[in-house]
This record gives sequence, C-alpha cells and structure tokens, in this order.
Amino acid sequence: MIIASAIETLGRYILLMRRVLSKPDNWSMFGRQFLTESQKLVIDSIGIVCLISVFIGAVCVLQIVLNMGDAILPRYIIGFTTREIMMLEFSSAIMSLILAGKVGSNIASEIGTMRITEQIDAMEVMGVNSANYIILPKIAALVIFMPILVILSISTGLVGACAVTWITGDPAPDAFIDGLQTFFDPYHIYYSIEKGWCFAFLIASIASYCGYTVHGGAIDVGRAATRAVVTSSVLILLCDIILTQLLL
Amino acid sequence: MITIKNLNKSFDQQHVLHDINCQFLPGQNNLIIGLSGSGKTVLLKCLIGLLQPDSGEILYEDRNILQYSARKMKLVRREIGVLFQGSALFDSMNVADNVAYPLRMFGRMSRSEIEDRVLFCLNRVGLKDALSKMPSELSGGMQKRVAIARAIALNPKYLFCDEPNSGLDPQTSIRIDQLIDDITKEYNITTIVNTHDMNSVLGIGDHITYLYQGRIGWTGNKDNILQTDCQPLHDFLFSSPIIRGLIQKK
Repeated sequence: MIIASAIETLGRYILLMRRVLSKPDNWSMFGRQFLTESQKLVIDSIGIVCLISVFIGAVCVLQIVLNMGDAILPRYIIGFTTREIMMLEFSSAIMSLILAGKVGSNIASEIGTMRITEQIDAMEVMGVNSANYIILPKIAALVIFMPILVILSISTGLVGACAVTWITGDPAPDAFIDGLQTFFDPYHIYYSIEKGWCFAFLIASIASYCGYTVHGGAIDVGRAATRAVVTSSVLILLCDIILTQLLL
Repeated sequence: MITIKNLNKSFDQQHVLHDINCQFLPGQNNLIIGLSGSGKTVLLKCLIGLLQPDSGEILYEDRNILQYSARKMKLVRREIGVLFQGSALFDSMNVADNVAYPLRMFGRMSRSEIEDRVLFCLNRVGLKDALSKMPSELSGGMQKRVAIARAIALNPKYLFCDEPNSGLDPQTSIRIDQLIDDITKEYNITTIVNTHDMNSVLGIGDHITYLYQGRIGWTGNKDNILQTDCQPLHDFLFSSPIIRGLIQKK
C-alpha cells in the first residue's frame, strides 16, 4: 500500500515536472517572474546563509582545536580540516537543508494558498500553463543562483573561522591560513556546486509539487509546507550519499 | 451558444451529474440554480474544462470541447472569461496588473494598447481609480468588479460566474448582477451564472436551469419561476421569507 502510494506520488511528480519543464507561454512574463523569484528566493536568503556559515565556520575551528587537544599534529591541519568541512559538506548539503526550511516552506505555502484561493484555476481557465508559469521561474532562479550561495557560504564560513583564530590565537592565524591553502583541490569547489545544483532542483521542485497538489484549506497548506520541508530534507540527505559516492 | 448533451460526471461511487441536456444562448443571463451540493459548481467546472466529464458532449457553438487536444483547448480558453466565487485575483499583483495579465500573456498588444484596455475595462466596472491598489486593499465587492474587468479584458464570447454574490451585501450584490447583465447584453456574450441568490434569480434570470440532485429539475425564466409546479424548486424558492411575503402581497 505504501509502495503503491509512493509510486503514484512519483508518477504525479514526474507528470507535473513535464508540464513545468516546457516552453513558457510568454518569455517576457517568464523573465519578470524569474527576476521576482531570484529576489525572493536567492537574494533574500543571502543574509541567513552568511550568518549561519560564519557561525558554523567559527564553531568548526573551536571544535577541532578542542578535539585535537595537544596531539602531535601540525596546527595547519585545523585550517585544512575546516576548509574541507565547509567545501565538501556544509556549504552544499547542510546549507541546502537550511534552505529547504526557509525557501521550501515559503514556496509550498505560497503555491498552496494560490491553489485554495482558485488563483491557479483562474490561470488554467485563461489557458495559461500554470505549472510552468508559477514553478519554472522558482526552479530556474534557485538552480542558476545556487553556485553563488554555495561560494558565498564557503567564503563567509572561512572568514568566520579566521576571525576565531585571530581572536583566540589558537591556532595562530598564519598557521590556519597555511592550512586553508594546503592540498587545495579546485575540483572540490565544482563538486560542491554540482551538489548545490542538484539540491536546489530538489528543494524548489518538491516544495512546488507539495504546494501545487494541495486540496482543502489553511490546515492543508500548513501540512503541505511541513511535507515539503521534511521530504526535501530527507531526499537531500539521500542524494548527498549518492553524489558523494559518484563524484568523489 | 453552449449546448450540453447527455453529460454525466461522478466521483468514485458518487454520481454528481446525471444525463444533463441544456442549451445556453448568447445575449442573455443563463442562471443555474439549486441547493448546495446539487452539482452546480461541478457542472460549471466541466463547462470551463477544469473537470473532465465521464460522458456526454459540451458544444461551444458546434465545437465539442471534450474532443479537443490540450493545444486546441488553449485557444478556446481565450474566448472564456470566468468570475470565481472568491474572485481569485492574483494577490502578488496590483489591480492594473491583474487586469493586464491575460492581455500580456496572450494579447498581441503594445504596452500603450494594454494600458488603454486596462483603463477601459476598469472604467467599465467603475474602478479606474483603483489601478495601483493591491487586492488585499479592496472590499469584497470591489474585488468582484476587478475580477469582472479581468474576465472581460480579452473580449470573451463566454462568461462564467460562480456565485458572484456570495459574501456581498444586498446592494453590492444587485450592482454586480446589473454589471453582469449590462456586459452580457452589450457584448452579446453567452453568460452562465451559478447562484442561489434570489435577487439574482428574480432580477437577471433570463433563462433559469434548476438543478436538483444532479438532474435538471426545471427550466424557465424569472417571469414564470414563481408559478412553478416543480415541488423541489417550489420548496427551494419559498424557503425564503422574502419571497413568501412577496407572493402574499400579490
């Protein structure tokens, strides 16, 4: 029963995506929507992404210092480890989990409200491909600008980590910066961005699906928002494992 | 003109519409009335293509839209204007953008032509001063008028109104009815109105179809509805103390 329901949901999701990923009815309207969504989903998320990244970078350094204790390891290892944590996991996967909460619930509740107030029906009656008009700009905005968020997150995370070394002096800032440059592999940045693209698509498309298929009233919109966050978070974690195995 | 032939619709085991046959002519207000749950909204949704009937035909002039592909149906939809029960204005857009939406989406008009058309439509519903207001800043009656302006923006041949008076005071209700009536006659539109508002029935009911338990129980107009011998319609009409009082006076 659960499997049948899951297959049915997957089928509906694929059918919706087929409608979403078609040619827009009107390119200039799509452009307008794309700019609006870029502002709403990406630019408005920069603050929270930077804030969390700074603190996570700082906490990473403190934790590594604490756990290394007096081990006979060069102190630049702290910088190296912090960089790898930020680049490989935090700035793509963990940041995407945070975005799934912020952006995912926003998308699901917005589209869900449009559904229950008949705004989507009004578009359909006019002959507009409502799925394409509403959802495609959201997916496009998040996927296109995700690399910027990822790079911003890596940068601000490392700035936060540096700030801690300057304040505490352990490790010495010079050693830390040496560590940041040690064994640097540019592919890890591409890897992080590639994961970001995949997670951005998951967040925007799953949240849109949850909102678009709402039936009922305000409670159902709330449920859809919760379902969007939970489902996209679980799938981000699942994809993280698969992508790590495939790409590294 | 819209013709319905042998239309049936059910949800799972529940048969909502039984063998509906009727015709709606242009230039008159075609009202569909009935109790809540009688199938009015389902019928309207079938007519505008939001629901797929199980069997039957829906003919727009001589075009059976149920046999149309999605692409062909898109073209038919541009001839349709719909006034939803809750107005369904896009709350992220102001009044002008709401009315301009179908024009920008499908019209081959320049920016100035769109502006002129928006002004014309809003002027027609008496709201030309509300151009830059957001839907949340408007009263229920004003929202309905903006929705009417949006519905007529593309010069529709067919206008569908789902409970246009719900949630409105009697005076505003009458004004909305009058507006629908004027637009229908002025542009010779085929207008179909779902309602259970007695003022609408007796005020603009040029052609009335009474739905009872998913079947057509009676057809007629505002002049002969009060003399009906259809018992369920009689009960429906005379459940209103105003109508009872009116008849007693007569």
